[in-house]
Amino acid sequence: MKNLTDTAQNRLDKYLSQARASLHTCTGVDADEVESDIRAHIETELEGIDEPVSLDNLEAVLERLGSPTQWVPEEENSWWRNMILRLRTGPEDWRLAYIAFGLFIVSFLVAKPPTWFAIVVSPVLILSGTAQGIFLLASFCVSRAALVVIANRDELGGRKWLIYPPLLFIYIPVAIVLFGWPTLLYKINNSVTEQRPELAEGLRVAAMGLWWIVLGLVFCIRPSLLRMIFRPFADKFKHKEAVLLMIIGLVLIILGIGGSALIYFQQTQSQ
Amino acid sequence: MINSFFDNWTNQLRKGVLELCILNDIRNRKMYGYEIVRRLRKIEGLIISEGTIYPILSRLKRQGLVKTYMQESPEGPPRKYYKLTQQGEDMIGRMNTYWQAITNQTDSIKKGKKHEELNRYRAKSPG
Repeated sequence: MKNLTDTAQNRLDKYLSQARASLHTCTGVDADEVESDIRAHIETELEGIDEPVSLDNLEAVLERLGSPTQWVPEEENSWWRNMILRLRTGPEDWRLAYIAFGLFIVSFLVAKPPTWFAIVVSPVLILSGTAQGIFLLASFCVSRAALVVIANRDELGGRKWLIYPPLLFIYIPVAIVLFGWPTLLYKINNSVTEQRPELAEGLRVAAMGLWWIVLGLVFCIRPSLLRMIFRPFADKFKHKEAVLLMIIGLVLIILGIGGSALIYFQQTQSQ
Repeated sequence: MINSFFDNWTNQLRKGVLELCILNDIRNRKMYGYEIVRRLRKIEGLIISEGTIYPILSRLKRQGLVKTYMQESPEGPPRKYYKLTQQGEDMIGRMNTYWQAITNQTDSIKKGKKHEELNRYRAKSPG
């Protein structure tokens, strides 16, 4: 190899090490052979240039050779190499998806002892400020950011496997609280059930139905609200589904009050 | 969006065409790596990074389509020459036939479209 200036030599060393890193993960090529070909190519290109070769002269050759990351098609790289490349160089939607999943995995690793049942208590973990909760919240936020970048749900492709788990860990408990809080509260403050426990189930169902009617009404006026909360799973939610929710709520009220009334009258008659 | 579609399309097309050109180049005569790059760089738009040629050559060698041998050079260090194997000869024959058929049919579709447009125009124009 020709003599190079110190800066040019440093640049060449860095370039070749980058080439080695790119090629060694590619299963279809002989990395050492390609590196030696690249060296020979550079040497031939620099023929006729006065020594020591300057950085500018070398840079012109390297520019024509291009970045080693472009030499090998993505499909010929190992999966972990593609993952690192996507993390380092984007595209942004893949980068965010990997970060989200990484944070999600970390949230389990930092748990002491590992709380795998966190799916039902993730809001508690977050609100109590545990490390697991913080990582879960971070992975959720990054997942939502990835969704903003991707925009169209049909374009999610393989990224859904990275984005969906952190989202579901938050969405499921939020959905349970949003749709079922009357039942939860009823369990806490159950003065009625203490006096007349036989009516408890019916009233609970009716309370749930009433709440679903309220929710249905709100989502009928603003269906975008539910779509926004549960993106991307509720992307197709429209007025029709909100009306259906109200109808189910109405049916629950009828069943709950009707059932309780029936039990009440049967008991009164028997007394 | 349109630019990214075009870039993606040219990338996919370039990959296959590049392999076809390399094998055809070596088929005609033995060549060393840098010589192949120098010839292919003359085809505008075919090579974005010259470095892509070497991994392709390495892959072709691993797949048994080309073989290499070292030969002394009067201008400097020994050079590594590439030559088609029998398997490579068969493969490039098949690839050329396929390529010819595809380009012929693509041309006929393009020309057919033009004829249709011309006929439509003639039918519309008075006299």
